[in-house]
Amino acid sequence: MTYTSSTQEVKKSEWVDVMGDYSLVPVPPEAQRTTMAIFVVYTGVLACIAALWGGGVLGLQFNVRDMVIVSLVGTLIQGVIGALTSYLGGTSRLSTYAAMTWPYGRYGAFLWGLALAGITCGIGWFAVETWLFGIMMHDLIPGNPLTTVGIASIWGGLLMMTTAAIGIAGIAFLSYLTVPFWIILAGISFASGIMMGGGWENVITKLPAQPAPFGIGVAQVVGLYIAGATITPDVARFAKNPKGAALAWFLQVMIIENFFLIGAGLLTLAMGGTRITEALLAVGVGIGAYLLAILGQWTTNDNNLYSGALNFTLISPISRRALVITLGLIGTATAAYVGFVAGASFDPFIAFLTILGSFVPAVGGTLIGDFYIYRGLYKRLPAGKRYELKIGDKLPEINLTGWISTAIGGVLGTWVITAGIPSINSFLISMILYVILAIALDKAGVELVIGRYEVTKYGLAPRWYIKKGG
Amino acid sequence: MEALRGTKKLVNSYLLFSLITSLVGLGLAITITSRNAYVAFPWYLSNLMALAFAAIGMLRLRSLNDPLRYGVIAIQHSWWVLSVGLAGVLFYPAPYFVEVAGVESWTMFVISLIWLLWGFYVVFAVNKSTKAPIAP
Repeated sequence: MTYTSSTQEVKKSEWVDVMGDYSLVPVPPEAQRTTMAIFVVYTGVLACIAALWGGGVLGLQFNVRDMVIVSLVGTLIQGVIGALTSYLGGTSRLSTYAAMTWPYGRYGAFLWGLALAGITCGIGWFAVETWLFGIMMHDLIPGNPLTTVGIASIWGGLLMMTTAAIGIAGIAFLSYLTVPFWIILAGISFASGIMMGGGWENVITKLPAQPAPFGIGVAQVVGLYIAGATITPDVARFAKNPKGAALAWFLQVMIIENFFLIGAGLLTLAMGGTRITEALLAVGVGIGAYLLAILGQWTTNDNNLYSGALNFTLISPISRRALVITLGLIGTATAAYVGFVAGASFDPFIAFLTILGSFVPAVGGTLIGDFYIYRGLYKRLPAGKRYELKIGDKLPEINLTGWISTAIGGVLGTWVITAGIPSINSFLISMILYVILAIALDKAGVELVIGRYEVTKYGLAPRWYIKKGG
Repeated sequence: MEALRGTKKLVNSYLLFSLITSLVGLGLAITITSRNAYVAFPWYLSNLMALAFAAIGMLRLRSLNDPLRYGVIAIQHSWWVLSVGLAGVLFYPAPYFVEVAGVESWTMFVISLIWLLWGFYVVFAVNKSTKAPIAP
């Protein structure tokens, strides 16, 4: 697909989107979407059983008043971080990994992205969530051959792969159909669960089963969706209005996520456990419970896979769609294997993903520090020029400034500093460190850059792909 | 322009129907609240959402004459109303709701079914006439 961008510099030539869905080139005006559409896609990603389980954890640890405060503070932090990355994506029109080329270099963007999204989301969490889907189906419909954990993981994984393979249009389609439906079904579950647990009067006076400090609760809420807040450019790059994209993220987190977290928390306080689907089954909305589980997992996991595959396009010689199918099959096979092998557990794998995930806020901090403080406040570049991909520009292959700040920020924030909220510590340390390093190096006239990559009409496509003739 | 006029008539009828029936649903929700507030909660939630989607849709479409732009917004709002309809079709006939408000629940079931089926028709008809994507 060929198009001419509206920016002055690239009017002279044309971008060629070799990977599909504008993975390595800026999204053109004709593919841009309204703020409402971006809001719905974000909400589709958020609407999953895991978000309700997150609320359930709060319900075990806090009373109603504290739970509301913890949820509001946690989502406010997510909202601000995600709004900043959304605006970055909306102005650059590039995916998270393409945008990471500036602070990390092209290989750096791939390698850090691989650890954070390629492995964690693309294969890792996709496999874990597909396996969880299998377990959920097994619990909902026990005794059916199609709903054994292994078999349900296979058909569930393939379903999730289809919309991710279609691309943003497929993800949006599913979100349009699912989002209002899912919010209502979750609402029914909350209301009926509270009623079954003795009503509002009972919930308001209940004490949590496993009380926890305020900071832990906020860290849990932030950690629940910090990866999502960091990779918002993957969706925001399609926004017609970058400020609208930022607002869409902020509002969906502050309104919809709080509704899910607090609602599920209240249900848990009332029933003593996060019995979301059980509450629906108990009131006779059986098909609703199945659809809540299937569609919720589907709208979230297709985005995991989509985002992971985008990262691989930076060095892969195959198209984005082929990557989605390859990664999807690997993830589905892994989930099915674990489902079929009795006694197998994803626990060690989840622990590994959690370690990798600890660096996600650090990447967000570096990206925001580079875009807003170094290039914005210090270099005084207008937003549209900070991450503007231009044919002929020479971008770094490796930019060590981003590597150093992220590695130190991630390690210090997660494992060394024990006070505060780990994800926020990582975020702030890497951001501050990056800004100090970048400004100091700039003033000294030194660059921590290895190699340069010349941008061609194929955007950030791998060099061997271009040599091969595209 | 003639073709768009027909599309506008279809979309306006759908959104106006959704707006009026969601107000009816809200009225019924008020009467159910005194019987069981927990049963009434999803009534409020679904009808307020349908009302908002229909009303905001009508406002956004009011002065649009570009077929593609009109089609994009019409399809968005039709999707949302039909999605509320899908939830309604599933929950209104459930025993929990019928026990508390039988006639009201079945009335809203029929209305939700209309939101759902008519919504699908509107989405595909607008897609055909304006060339706006199915998932804009």
